[in-house]
Amino acid sequence: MASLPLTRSADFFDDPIDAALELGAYERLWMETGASFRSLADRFARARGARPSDLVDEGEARRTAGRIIERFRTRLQGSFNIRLHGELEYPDRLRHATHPVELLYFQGSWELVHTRSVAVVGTRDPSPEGRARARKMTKALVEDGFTIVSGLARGIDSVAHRTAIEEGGRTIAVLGTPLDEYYPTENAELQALLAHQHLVISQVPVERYSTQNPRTNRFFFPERNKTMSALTEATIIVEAGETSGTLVQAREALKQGRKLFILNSAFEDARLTWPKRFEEHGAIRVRDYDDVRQRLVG
Amino acid sequence: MMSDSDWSAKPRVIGEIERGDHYHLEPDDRCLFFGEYTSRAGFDHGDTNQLISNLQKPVSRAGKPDYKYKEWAISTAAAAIRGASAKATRGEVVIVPAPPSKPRGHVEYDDRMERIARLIGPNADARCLLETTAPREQAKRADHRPSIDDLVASMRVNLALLEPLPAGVILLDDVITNGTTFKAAQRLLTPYLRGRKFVGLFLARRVFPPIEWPDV
Repeated sequence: MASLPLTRSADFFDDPIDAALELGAYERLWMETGASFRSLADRFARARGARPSDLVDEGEARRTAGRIIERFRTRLQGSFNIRLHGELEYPDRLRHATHPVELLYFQGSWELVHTRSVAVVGTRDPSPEGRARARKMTKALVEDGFTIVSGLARGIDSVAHRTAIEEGGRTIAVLGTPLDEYYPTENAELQALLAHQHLVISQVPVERYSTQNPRTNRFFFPERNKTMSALTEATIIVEAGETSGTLVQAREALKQGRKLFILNSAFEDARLTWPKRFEEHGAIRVRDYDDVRQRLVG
Repeated sequence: MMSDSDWSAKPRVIGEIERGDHYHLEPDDRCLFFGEYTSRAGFDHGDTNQLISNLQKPVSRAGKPDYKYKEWAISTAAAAIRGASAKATRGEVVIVPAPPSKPRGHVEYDDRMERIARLIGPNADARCLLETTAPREQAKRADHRPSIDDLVASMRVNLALLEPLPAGVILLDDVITNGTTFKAAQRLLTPYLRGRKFVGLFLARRVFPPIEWPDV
């Protein structure tokens, strides 16, 4: 069984954090039957102050950490790091997520998390107008100094990241895959660029992902939308269908007390019922950028 | 800026993930840190970057309005250490402030690390076991960073303060970059410690800024 917190203070410090050990322990927890973001969040909510290493065998956690670190060093360019709930650099606002994550992997400049940021998200299959709107919105946000956060998916997400870069802005990708997986593969280069010059974050467990089939792994995508909302002060939905994963983020944003902006074009699409529904719950209809600007900049 | 980090958090060990960022550190070296610091001129997003930049305000600004932020940084750091080590707070291990770049009496002498160490608590055992004998350029401003040998040559051990022999030593510094100060202090002090543990505690570890962005 896991060591008790007391035994961790064998040195001069009370309960210091060994990030590599926690990484391995987090991966072990995910290999348990039935593990999910919900089950893990519940478990940590019950065991207040516990760390992943309190819940698994230390030897196993160390061996797993060794494997993952080795794998990342082989597959990733440059250094990587983690954030653990309980360490100084873990942003408290991530706790606003419905199932807050105990551990995140990242590559790039963590300090971007401390800048004002807005998520620009939407469908993987946007119309040409949708792309143009995403570009326009992103450009205006960058001009106002916001960091652009998105999910590195095909479609609106990619437009948001690329526009942020083209406009000389800063951007953060929150992945629905492990840090060293590329989906879609056409975005591999973009992901590597973001990891090197901006920031790429992933909450997805590496070994669990490797052992599951792709269909099951798709459930990780909407999970990262909850983190994306918690990380940002507002979410802007550019274009999304009735069953889009983007709507997970819309729900989360409202639930977390973040601002939710929906472009007017979505309201005007007669096939869609969700814009009205979210507006009734506090979402803001955006006719032009000023509707966003007024509420974020003043 | 978004500020929601918490200085009552536990420190992190420099281990398998972090060690590669600190060139001189070896696997057996025990170093801990609270936050991560990006050395990037003019970019002070994040509590850690702000705390470090406030802490490093030059002493020539004493009495100016912004100097109160340096005082705030000193007390925040002391409180963080108090929360991180009961042994240090009770005086069971000795805290050794990393000596400043200038010797005592120099117009730029900055005793910020000593002041943090003394503010940890009334029972804390803070001792200036290391003293600077020759002024150094502050590492971050120097054209080339000093080597471990350079640092060893610019410091001496204050033998008068060695007794009673501590049960262990924590070297306290604001930022660990390559680990040069830690290794120099280790080389100077361990011959006198008769096998007692020597560890490093840093308010922050330096991480590399990958690229320059326009600051907004």
